[in-house]
Amino acid sequence: MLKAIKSIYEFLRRLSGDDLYDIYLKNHKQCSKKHKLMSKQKFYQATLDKKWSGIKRCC
Amino acid sequence: MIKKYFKNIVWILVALLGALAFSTIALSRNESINAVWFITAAVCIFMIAYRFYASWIAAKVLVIDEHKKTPALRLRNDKDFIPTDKWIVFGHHFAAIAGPGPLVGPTLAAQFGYLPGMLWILIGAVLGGAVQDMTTLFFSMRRNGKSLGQMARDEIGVIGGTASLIGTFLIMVILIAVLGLVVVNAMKHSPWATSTVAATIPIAIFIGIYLRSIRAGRVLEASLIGFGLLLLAVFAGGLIDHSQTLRTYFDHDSLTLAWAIIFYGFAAAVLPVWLLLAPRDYLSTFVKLGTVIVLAIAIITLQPEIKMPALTQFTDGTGPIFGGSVFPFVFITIACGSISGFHSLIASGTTPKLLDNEKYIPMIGYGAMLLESFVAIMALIAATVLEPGIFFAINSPVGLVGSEAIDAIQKINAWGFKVTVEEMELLAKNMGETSLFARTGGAPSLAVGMANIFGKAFGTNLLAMWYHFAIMFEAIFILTTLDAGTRVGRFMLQDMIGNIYPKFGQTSWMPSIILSSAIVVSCWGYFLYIGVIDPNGGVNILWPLFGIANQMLAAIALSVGTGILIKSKKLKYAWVTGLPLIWLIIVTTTAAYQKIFSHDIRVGFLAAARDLTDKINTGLIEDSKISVTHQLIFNQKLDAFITLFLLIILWTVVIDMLRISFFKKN
Repeated sequence: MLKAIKSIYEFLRRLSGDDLYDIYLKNHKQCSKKHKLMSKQKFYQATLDKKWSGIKRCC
Repeated sequence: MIKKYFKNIVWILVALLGALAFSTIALSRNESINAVWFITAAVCIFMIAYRFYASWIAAKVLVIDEHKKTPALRLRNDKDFIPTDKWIVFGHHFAAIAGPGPLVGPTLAAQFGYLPGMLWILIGAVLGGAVQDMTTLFFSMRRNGKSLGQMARDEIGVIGGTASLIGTFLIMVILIAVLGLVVVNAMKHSPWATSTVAATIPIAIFIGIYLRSIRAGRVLEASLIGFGLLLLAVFAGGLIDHSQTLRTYFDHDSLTLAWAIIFYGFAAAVLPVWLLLAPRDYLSTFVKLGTVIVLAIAIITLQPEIKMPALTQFTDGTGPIFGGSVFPFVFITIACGSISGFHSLIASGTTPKLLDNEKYIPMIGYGAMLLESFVAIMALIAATVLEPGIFFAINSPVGLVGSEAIDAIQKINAWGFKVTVEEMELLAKNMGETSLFARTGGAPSLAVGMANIFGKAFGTNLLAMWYHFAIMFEAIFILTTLDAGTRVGRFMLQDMIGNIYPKFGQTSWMPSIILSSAIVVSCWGYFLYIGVIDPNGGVNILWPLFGIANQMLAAIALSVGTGILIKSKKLKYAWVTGLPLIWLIIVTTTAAYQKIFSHDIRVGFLAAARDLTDKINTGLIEDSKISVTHQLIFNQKLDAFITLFLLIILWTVVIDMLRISFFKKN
């Protein structure tokens, strides 16, 4: 039961973008050491700028 | 072996149940029908279409290769190209395509009765909309995630590329204007609705600050807090409405509210995204998904009876909500929910850069569109469970039924729909409104329908709360589309002018931001202003114009798809995109022709302009209204020009596609 709740919570976090920074940290550790690590705030700002630079919402 | 037989039997049962539901809907006349048949027909037809038609297109037409590396894997850069779980992509894609369109269009089209809208939503989505989304997604994926505009330029030529760019800009302008009008009509002289919608702005700003500075990026908890605050805003709206002093601050006419929306649109486009747009989007997605799920549960448990007849006399073109006969106008009015060209902009460009395997294309491209159609079916149910008399009293503009309640009731009764002044007064009182007459645009009648369903399912003593929750629910993502659309229009304009004056193309240069935002807001603000001053309610003009523009973009997307299929020696399968394309060409051309040249003044722009000119010349217009009438005449002529322009673009692209597909030697 607890496992199911946890996996639903993880799915919701993933769907809403709540865990994007955690994923970024993991990716950064693994492969992109050449780039300076962004703070949480900076990363959030960069994510939003990227997301809203094109047509992202329809009619 | 047994498993295979079992599977076959299940699919046969689904097919039989779907056929039974579909024929019950199609053949039922002058008798009550339960909304569960609508849900059953939709679910069965969508399941069969997804399992068989989408799979067939994937296997035979597109020849999807699950071993082929997708752009997200080949070009992975953790910026645009990010391999993402299929359910997450589905969620993002669905949130992106499902805006207010599938709620408004079916509500307006309910004037023809439930049948035309129902059939078009089911058939249009399965054979048209979902095919367009899926094929565009596939072709974009095979072209490294190119946008529709880029594909149109590459596959058809400069004309196709430019046409899709202009078409997108025009749709954006008209869409924002008509959605602004829907919100204005929901808020006019309603302190409860206006204060609740106004409260969503500071709530979004608070969530924006929370997400940026207090708990950076914690979207889930911020959305929950925001949702709690939104519920509080609905409740507080009721308190404001009951306070004689406070309610005066929020009791405004349409024109004042239109100016407020125009000012808001400009501010939202200039302000940084983190402050208003992004947090509002998180909130609207959260509220949208939650409300749609609860509405579906309520409809299934409540099983309401549909009160609207299958067909009304307005199929002949005399409908009060918008002029024009069932063919072609039901196909124009319901774009989102059946086939929407706008989706092709999402299916190309963004989504194809996330998928990590081609085998998920049917699920994302075809499946998400079916889910949007399901939302449209629920909107149609919510509108048609209302007594038709009430539905028409809410949706008929003052210009047609008069401004006095008794006149409106007499007119609606003369159409054969029973409703009384007392019933409307009681309904307005129950919903916490002073009046529900002539609340055009679709949002108030949908909110009344939703409030009825929610009220019956969860308690009728909270009807006014449910009504204003539904208004807030509609307004919050209409305003998100308005924010996002204005910003995209700004980027497009900056890009276009940047080709001539490069500095203007720097999207962060403040003079460029302010000037381009002002131009975009002026464009849609103009149509919103005209829509508000038009005694016929504005929706009569703006919604068909939006529909024509949207279907034209769909035709461009399907032209690109058909052109690619023909060029890649798959002529025998070209009908998959070709048939919906032909249908859209017929529908859009007929609708555009009628909108320009029809002699009916509620349909033809030029006839309406002539009629108003004659009225001025013969002294039928009061002196005080002459200048407004001149504005309306100019607008009718401008709308005729825009429609003609869209028609020329459509035919140019189609002819060019055929020329390049069949006659151009590589």
